[in-house]
Amino acid sequence: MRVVLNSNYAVAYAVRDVDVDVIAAYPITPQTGVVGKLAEMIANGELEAEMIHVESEHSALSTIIGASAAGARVFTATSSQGLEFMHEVLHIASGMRLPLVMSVATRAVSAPINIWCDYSDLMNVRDSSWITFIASTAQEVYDTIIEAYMVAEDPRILLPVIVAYDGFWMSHTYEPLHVVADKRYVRSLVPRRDRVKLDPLKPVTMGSLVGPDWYYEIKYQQVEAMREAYDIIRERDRDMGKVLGRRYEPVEAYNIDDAEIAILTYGGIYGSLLESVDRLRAEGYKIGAIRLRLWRPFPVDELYKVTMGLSTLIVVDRAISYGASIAGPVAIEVIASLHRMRVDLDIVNYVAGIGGRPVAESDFKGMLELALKLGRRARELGTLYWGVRGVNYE
Amino acid sequence: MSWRELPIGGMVVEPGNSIARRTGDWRVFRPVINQDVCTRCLICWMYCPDGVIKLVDTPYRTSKGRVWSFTLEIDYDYCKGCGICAEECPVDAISMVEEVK
Amino acid sequence: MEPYTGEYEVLTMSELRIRGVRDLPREELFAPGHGLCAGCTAGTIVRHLLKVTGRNTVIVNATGCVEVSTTMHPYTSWRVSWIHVAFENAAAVASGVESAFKVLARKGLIDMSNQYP
Repeated sequence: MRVVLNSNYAVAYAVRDVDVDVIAAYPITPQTGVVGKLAEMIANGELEAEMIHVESEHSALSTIIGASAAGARVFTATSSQGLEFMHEVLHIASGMRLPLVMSVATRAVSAPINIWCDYSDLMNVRDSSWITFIASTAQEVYDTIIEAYMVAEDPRILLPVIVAYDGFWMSHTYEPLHVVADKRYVRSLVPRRDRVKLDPLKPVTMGSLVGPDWYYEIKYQQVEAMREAYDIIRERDRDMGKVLGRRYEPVEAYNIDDAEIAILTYGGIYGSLLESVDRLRAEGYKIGAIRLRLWRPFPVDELYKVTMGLSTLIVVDRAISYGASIAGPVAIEVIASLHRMRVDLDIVNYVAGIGGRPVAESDFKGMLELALKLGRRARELGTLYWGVRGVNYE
Repeated sequence: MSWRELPIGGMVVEPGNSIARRTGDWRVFRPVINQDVCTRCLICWMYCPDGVIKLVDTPYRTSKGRVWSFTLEIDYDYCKGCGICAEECPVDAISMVEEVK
Repeated sequence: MEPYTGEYEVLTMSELRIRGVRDLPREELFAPGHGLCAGCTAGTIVRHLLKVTGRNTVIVNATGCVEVSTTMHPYTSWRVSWIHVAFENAAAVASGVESAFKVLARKGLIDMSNQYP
């Protein structure tokens, strides 16, 4: 069924279609539309679920941990400051191996307070052991939420999942997409599974104190679950292709086959990048575009495959890891990943689009031209900050 | 035991398995109940923080001829020797005796 | 669970009529062997709490002495369902657990009557 929705509502439609049981709601710009729409759906009977109005995001996540521990299918949504507020609980959620799903409409973190889009909030929770997808279109948001439940509830994984998308640029922008007309079909994709939970007939103790003698082994279980998740996610991506007709990959590439240079980015600006690549190709550059969709577990194999024939890779990040030798979080991972595979390409890292500053087709062209002009220096400089008043690399 | 055999997330699926830790070796003094003096008021049973005083349906005939239908016994495998039972007993039926090893 | 030698009834909260000490249930849902200090009445309080609430209980415990001493991995003293999340969110977690049972029962995914009588 074809509808016109913004990414926030696309999340709500997907959450409705998978039949969640408990939703914790706390508003924060720019994700409020998600929980608002879900409240509307519960009120008009489209969705049978309990919505708990909590007093903070910390409680939002704590509440759904309790609900998931009791065996329910759960959901919450947040952004920036909310994600930071629930930070300690993020680690607890993954440590307790609960299949939670959370949508994050990415927004810059304070200070200064800024409600517009960048990925600093998402990059900050990188090590929390949550499987993380970054979507680029509303359609992908809808599909990925469904996939998130399939992945999280897989008994071999049982790790929580974040589905992230651009705050405002995607969360509030309407796009046409297909939603599944028959909810029962979606529910058949995410069947209810038995797992260890709080049950008076089978008492278990969850969240006990673990000392230095066993903590490491329990954390290692998470490492292995992430590793298995990588393979299972690729399987699920293929399954989604078969059942929904829309297939995704952990790393997607456009016009990469004969490319010498490629620009890698993530999130909503990928659309602008595709436009830019078409125009640059017309101008004679042998350029391709790469999109990172799966952030955790990091798709080492797919990245290697798409970068095989390149001589230069430009990574455009939307977050800053202050003080790092290369400040773009994704650039750091890309470099580490290719280093592991013994690939030595020229990698140029740009940081752009901070605090909601737009990144247009002309920006990508400018970044490419600057990188080519700087040549070897671009790599030595580490990170190039694009579009800052007063910063000039030439 | 490898990471594969542990229940995930550090869950403990066997309820009450702390009975494997015999905390009885913590004590210095052990409580001894004088069954003749004991009036079976159950105050010691209520107060014990470890729940080691057991209500067993063993009848007891005191030296004065009174017959009780149940008795209170202490499980010395777990008693930590805190002395609360001896302190609370209204008829001083419990005495703390030094643990001789 | 240790065998109990006498016979007893497990009473639900509505049937529990405690008029005196003799009416307290004999079942110990809090096992000994925990690491609470000798004489710490936290143990007494937990024992009594569980005598009143019975087996159909989910304990949501905040971080503290009781949480740490009664669940030192791989041992647990609890003979009921128990969950610990963090320091200040016990109430929030409990809300979640309660909502989950409510909605799962409404959807027919769990049978609330299938508990201990």
